[in-house]
Amino acid sequence: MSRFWFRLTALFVFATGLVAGVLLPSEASATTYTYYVTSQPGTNSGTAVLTCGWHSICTSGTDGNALDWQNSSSSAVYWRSWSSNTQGIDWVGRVSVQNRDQGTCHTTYAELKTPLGTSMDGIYFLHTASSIPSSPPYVMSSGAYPVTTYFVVGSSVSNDCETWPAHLHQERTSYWAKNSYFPTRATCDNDAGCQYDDVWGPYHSKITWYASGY
Amino acid sequence: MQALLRRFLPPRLVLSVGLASIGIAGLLVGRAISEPTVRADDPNLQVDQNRGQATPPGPDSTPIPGATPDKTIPDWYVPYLNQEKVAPKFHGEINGIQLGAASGPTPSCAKTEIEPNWAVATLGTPFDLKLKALPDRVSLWGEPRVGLCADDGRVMWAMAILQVASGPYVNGMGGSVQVGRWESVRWASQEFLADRVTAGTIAGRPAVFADVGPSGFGQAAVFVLDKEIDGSTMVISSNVSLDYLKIIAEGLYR
Repeated sequence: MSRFWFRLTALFVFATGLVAGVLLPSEASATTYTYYVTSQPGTNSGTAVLTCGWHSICTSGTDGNALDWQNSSSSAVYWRSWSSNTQGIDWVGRVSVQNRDQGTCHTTYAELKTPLGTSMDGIYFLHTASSIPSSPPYVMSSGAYPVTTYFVVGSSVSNDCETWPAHLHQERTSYWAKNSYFPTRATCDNDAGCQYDDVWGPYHSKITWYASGY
Repeated sequence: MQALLRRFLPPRLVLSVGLASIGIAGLLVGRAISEPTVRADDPNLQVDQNRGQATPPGPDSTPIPGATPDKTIPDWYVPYLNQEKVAPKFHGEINGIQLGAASGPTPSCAKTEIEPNWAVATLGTPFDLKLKALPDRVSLWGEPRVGLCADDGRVMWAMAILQVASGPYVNGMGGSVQVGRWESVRWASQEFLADRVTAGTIAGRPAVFADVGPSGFGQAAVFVLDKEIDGSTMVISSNVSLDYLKIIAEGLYR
C-alpha cells in the first residue's frame, strides 16, 4: 500500500469513527432525582389539635381538601414542612407567601416554588391574616433524612367571615396529595369528638417532583 | 531482529491494529463532541439540572439592564425579586375598584350564615359564578363557600377555588385560582406593582388587571366591578397567567 492510500484509508477510518460516535445513541443513563415536601399542621402549638377532619365546609366533616386545627385568636400560623431529596441538596425550593383576603374573609396562600421558580402549587391557610416575609423563605432539605422548615405566615383571626370562631383551616391544592390515612378519625361532625388528637409529626399532604441529569 | 519482528508482528496485523486504533480514536472524539453534560427532556424535570454548574445570583443582586435572565440557574429570579421589593406599589382606585386598601365597606348584616348548598343558594342570583360551565382545563376544587345574611336570607358573598391543568398559561404542574364575588366590597387589600396595574373590561364591565413582575413571584389578579350588587368579583392566582385569568373571569359572567 502506498503511503497516500494508507493516509486516505486512515482518514476514512477516523472519519467513520467520528460520525459513528456522534450519531450513536448515548449509553449514559439519566439519573432521576426525587424531591419530597410534606405539609404539617400549621398551628402555633407544637401539639396540633384537630377540630374537623377532611372537609370543605365543616358541617359534614367527611371529605374535602382541608383540615381544621385549634388555634386561638391572634396566635401565629406557621408553614411547617418536612423535606428530603435523592440528590443530597440542602434546599429544594422557596415559599411565596401571599395575601388572599376578600371582604371579611382572611386567607393566606403559601406557594412552593422550585429553585428555578416553577410553581409546585401551595397550601391555603383560611381565617389567617397574612404576615409576608421580606424574602421568600427557603424550604430546607437533605438527602440523608427529612429536614423541618417552619416560619410564620400569619395569625388566626376570630369571627372571620363574620361567623368563624378562631381556628386554622388548612387546605391543600390539587397537586398536594392527601394523606388518606391521616387523620385516622373518618368523620368529625361533632367538634368535641375530634379534640385532643395529638397528631404532631405525621404529615397530612405531600408533594413530590422529579429532576434528571446525566 | 527484523525477521523476528516480522514473524510475530506481521505488517498486516500492524496495519489492522493501527487502523482500528484510528477508528476508535474517531469514535471517542465523536462521543465527546455529542455527549451532553446535562439534559432534561420533560418540562417537569428541569429542576436543578444545572445545580453546581453556574453561580446563582447573590442576595443583593439587581438585574443588569437589558440582560436576559438565564432561567436555567437556581435563584435566577432573585435580582428581579430584589427590584420588585422596593418598586412602587399601586394604592388607589381604577374603574371603581380600590387596590391596596387596608379596609373598606363590607356587606351590612348582623349575622352571617354559611350555606352548604351553594348551587341552589346562588342560582338566579348575581352570585351565580357559573361554576358548572367552566372553561376547558379549569375545574372546581372542593365546595364553594356561600355567605348568607341570617336577617333576610340574601346571598352576600360566594367564594371558590378553581384548579387549572398544566399548560402554556400555567407556571408549573398546575395552578389554583381563588374566585370571589362580594356585595358592597369594591376594594382589595392586595398590593401590586404599580407598573403592572391596568384598566380594562370583562364581559363589558369595568375591570382592573394586575400582573406579576419579571420574577414570577407574587400574584396576578382580575377585579371586575359588579354595579348590581355594589360590589366586585375577584379572580386571583399566583401560577396562572393574567391572560388566562381574564378568560376565567369572562366565563364567570356567561
